[in-house]
Amino acid sequence: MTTRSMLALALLVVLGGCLPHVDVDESLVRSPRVIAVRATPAEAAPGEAVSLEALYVGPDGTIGAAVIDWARCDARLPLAELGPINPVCLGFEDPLLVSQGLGARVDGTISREACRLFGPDPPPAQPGEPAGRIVDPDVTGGYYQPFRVIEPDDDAIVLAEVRLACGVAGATQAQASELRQRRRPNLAPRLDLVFAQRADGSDALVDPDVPLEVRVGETITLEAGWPVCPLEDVCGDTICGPDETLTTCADDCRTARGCEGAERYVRFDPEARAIVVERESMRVAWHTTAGSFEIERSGRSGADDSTYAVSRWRAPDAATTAVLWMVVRDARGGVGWTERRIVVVE
Amino acid sequence: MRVHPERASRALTLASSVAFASSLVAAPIHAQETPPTETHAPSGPQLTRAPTLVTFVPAEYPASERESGRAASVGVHVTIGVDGTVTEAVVAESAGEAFDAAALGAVRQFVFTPAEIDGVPSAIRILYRYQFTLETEVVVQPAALRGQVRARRGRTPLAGMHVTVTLADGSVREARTDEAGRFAFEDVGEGELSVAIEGENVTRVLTTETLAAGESVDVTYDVTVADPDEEEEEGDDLEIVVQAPPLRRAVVSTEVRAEEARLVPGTSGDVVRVVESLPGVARASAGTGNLIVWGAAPDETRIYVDGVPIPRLMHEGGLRSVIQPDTVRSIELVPGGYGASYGRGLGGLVSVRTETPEGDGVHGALALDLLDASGIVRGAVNDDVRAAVSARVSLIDLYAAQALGADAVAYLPIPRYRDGQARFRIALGAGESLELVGMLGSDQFQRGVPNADPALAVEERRYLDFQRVYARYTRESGDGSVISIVPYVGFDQRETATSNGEVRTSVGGETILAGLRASYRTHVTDWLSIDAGLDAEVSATTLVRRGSIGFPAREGDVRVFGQSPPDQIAADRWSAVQIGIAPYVEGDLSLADGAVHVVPGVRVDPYARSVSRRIPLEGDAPALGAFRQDFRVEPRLSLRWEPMPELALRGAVGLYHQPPRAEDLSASFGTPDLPLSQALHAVLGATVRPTETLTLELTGFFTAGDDLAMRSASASPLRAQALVASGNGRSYGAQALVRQELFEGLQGWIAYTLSRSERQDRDESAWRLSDYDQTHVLTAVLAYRIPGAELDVSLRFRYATGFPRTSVWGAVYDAASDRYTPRFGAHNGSRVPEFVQLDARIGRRFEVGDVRLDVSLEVLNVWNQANPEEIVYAPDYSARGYVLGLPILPVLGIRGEI
Repeated sequence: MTTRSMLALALLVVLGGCLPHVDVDESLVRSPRVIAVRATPAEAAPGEAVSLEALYVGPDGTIGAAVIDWARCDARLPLAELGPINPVCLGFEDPLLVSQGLGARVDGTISREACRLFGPDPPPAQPGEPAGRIVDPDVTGGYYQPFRVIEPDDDAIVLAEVRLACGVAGATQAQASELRQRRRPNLAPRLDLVFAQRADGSDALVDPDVPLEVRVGETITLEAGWPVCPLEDVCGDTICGPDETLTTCADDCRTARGCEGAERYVRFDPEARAIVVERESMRVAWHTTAGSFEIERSGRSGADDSTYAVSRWRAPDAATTAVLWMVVRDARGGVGWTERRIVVVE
Repeated sequence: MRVHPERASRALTLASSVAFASSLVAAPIHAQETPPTETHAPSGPQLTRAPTLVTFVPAEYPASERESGRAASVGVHVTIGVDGTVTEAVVAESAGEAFDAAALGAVRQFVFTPAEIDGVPSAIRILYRYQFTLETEVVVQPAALRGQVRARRGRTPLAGMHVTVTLADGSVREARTDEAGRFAFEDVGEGELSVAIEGENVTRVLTTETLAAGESVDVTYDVTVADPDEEEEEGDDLEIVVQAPPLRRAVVSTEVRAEEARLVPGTSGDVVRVVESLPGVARASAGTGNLIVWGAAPDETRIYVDGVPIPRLMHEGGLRSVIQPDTVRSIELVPGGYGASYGRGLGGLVSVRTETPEGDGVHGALALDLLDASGIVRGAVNDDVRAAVSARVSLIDLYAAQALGADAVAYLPIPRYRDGQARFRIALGAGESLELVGMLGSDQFQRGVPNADPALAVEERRYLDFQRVYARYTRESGDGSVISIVPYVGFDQRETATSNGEVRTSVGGETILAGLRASYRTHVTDWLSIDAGLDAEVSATTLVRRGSIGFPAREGDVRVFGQSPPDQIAADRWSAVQIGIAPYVEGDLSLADGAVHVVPGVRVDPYARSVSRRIPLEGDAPALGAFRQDFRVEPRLSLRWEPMPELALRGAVGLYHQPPRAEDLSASFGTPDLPLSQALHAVLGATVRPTETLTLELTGFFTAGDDLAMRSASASPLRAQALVASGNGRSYGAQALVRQELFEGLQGWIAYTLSRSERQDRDESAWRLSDYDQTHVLTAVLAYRIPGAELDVSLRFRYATGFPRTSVWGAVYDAASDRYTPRFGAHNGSRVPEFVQLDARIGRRFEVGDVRLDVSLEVLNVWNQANPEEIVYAPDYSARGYVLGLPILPVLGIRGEI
């Protein structure tokens, strides 16, 4: 052992202690479960109807016909609760759980009080007391209506959220007005391309309908790409960006359109007390029925202009057909996914 | 066997002079009976070195009283000058003219080592009781002078004592006592013999014996044996009454001197770290450096250096203290029930007393080990003026990148710290001194865990810098009163920030601190001492916080290690000015001839607070500030009863308050109008001292706090009320301490604390374990310094129950964030497994020319016990494991001094 190695070991034990290995393979689908929930539209106003769809998968692939139980939860989150949802939402029955139906895809509605319960509007005042504390936004300035989902096979509970189209808290009237003008509803992202690169350097576009063929034990690099969104507003690109209006670019903004990639958006920065323009980060969760992903989650931060996420998938040691799902999530709660099949041969 | 009155009187004059302590009427304060573990709470000037009698002159038994043969006791007020000579002797308690004159004649010839108040040679007045009593049997036999020399305490024979007899003809005979302490001079002839006894650790004593022709006398001399290492507390024959005694405000405390602490394994020579091993202190999780005393939260225990508050005791990671060890004189921990001079804290009190090192000329020392390097330069211009400058800087960060690589450094929590002091002390006159001190500490800590998923990348950053400048003026008047004034100013800068993906949370700010601690202590009468003072503290804090309200975590949060904070964010920038000006007064009533001490005290603590923002900022609306004032009266009472010198029974009760932290006064993240929290402390204990160096203590305690700031449990809390003063807390238990102070090279202690710390989030909720509960904490420290070999070996064994944790019984998949959310069992219903560790240390001192080298090797976790420090879970909470603490780790340190 070199001096450097000994020194490094000493430092490691002094500073780091010993970390256990308690990781699990989050990518491998061993049993039926929900791995994503998509809302359409991805951002909805109080009282608005939304279509909720779960990606329910099993070891054999996507399970299309599943009796999934949906409920909207209208319970506010106490400050003392550090989880994402009020614990009453994790129950099976509660007055604050409003059923949204059964199935892999249901039509639900956003609570009419959503912006009071989960957003920037003051909650209903108690008799004799002033209005209560508003809810803080997330880092994108967003607020969310929670939903509770019960999987059909094991009654496992899954949480889902739909981004709310609410106002803003803490801003001046001028800022609030500007935000209303510049804010564009989020559009759920889409993965449109999946590339596979083999160890020999050859690559291929993986077609949704034509399974890719690999050898047992082979490792391939996968890239999942999403549409390119403009980094700055250009009138005529068919996308109405935050710096464009009907007045400045009627062609783009006559019909509000977004981008299914990493969109630019505006938010109110509570620290700087200013309106700032941000770009969505994009995350991809990799799932498979066989083999294993070297990187189970990957993505790009808002500062990264790249439009794809990368992982490496190792084929199992026996011939089979693996189903791969790539679920993309943008920073504002939008969700999309795509599915590919890989035939593993001897 | 018969008694010869004249000889008996002379022999007993000697014996009674050296054996008075157990037989005399107790005076208000018995310095030599003060258990080292039972010292007063930190405050103003204190007797730090008792005068030791170095020249004893026996009193002649008055001839006029020989026929009566009666016992007599003369109390003499002896004023000892700064040079140790007796400047004045006045009879305080008369036993008749003859006895008074004899006693005064002898006492005026005494010579002492100078007393020291706060380390300064000072004039002092003591009550010396010269007793002419008949306690020892003298057997007269013909033909010789025979006898035995015994230790006064325990009446054990003393071997090797040098006994010199000067015969009537001027010839000198010498003898050494045998194993039985006996000596014999045969055929010494008639007449008056001068007898001198001296030996190791025994003050030279003189007496005379008159023998008739053909007569033999058998005498017994009981002498006091002083422990050379304990001379300031044990090495005198005196019953000392400091005229302005420091009041015993704390009935339970543990004080460790720096030289004792240095030997404790695990401290790596950093003496302040010995606090971790004291009774009542829970074992902090590795790397935190938190100080948890009697189950109180770390920020409820106040930390003082010379009476000046500092924000932390340990550097980041808990590897080092923030105070350079060469300037530390002692560390005292008072877990509760302390007196009226301290407040603003619900928990315990840690007081570090520092000093400007003594010594002639200019000296320096440099220490080096794996973690850091430190050094000190000290010098003295003359006897009155001395100064010191010290510094310490971490080294890990300098070579970690080269040793581990830049990527690894990014992962690891590598502490970067430094601290330093500059000190200047001037003696203004007899008993009067001024010390100017500047100190600083700085910590930086940063690590990051990159991830291909931007939402899973984690970064963590913390820093804390603090500076303090203070002056310490001390004046001891000739009448024994003591004035102490410590004005101080300080500045703190700190920030804690984390990034969990794109959720960045941070809280940081600056605090300007100013304060004054002043006390006047005087002895009003023989039975009453008064300590009155002022404890003023003003702080102005400006804070900036952004991110999740759930970070940083608070006591009572239901969460697990590694769990991401909520992703909802807010931001606030606010300032808070808090003023506390607390006058206090305490009296020490000495009753039953000093066997009972009643120390009532009261502290009047008016608080005023101004917060810049009452409600969260809305648009461009102007900020509306909040002002609050509270007035609290804090009564304190302690009792001490010493039915016999070896036994003390103690009790204390007091009320304590703590203002909210400035961090909790945010309109967005906290509550600007939070009230004071308060706590009641009750302590009951007993101390037994079977020997002069062995102490056994048993202390029961109960603390009850209320109005503790907790997160609002309401689903719709009002604005600016994220925290509510709804929490209640209680801690109760007992601690036992068996402590052997330095005795023939051996020292150590066994401390065991059995406690339970509970919290109630709201009045209607059930009591639960506090996050800081540790049922059992056992610490055993044993150090042995091999006499003459400059070698010391020591061991430390620790056992501690693990901290409570909330168990996880499942998880819910959050499809929105692609993360799992744990489902919790009973709040703090489980624990981290217990901690067991043995540490060892061996140190050797070398003299190389003018350089003194101290080389030490510490081996932490000798048997390589796998100690779980924290529970970690798999991302889906389907599996769990433990973060383990340090494996066996040898640490070599070297320190050179010139």
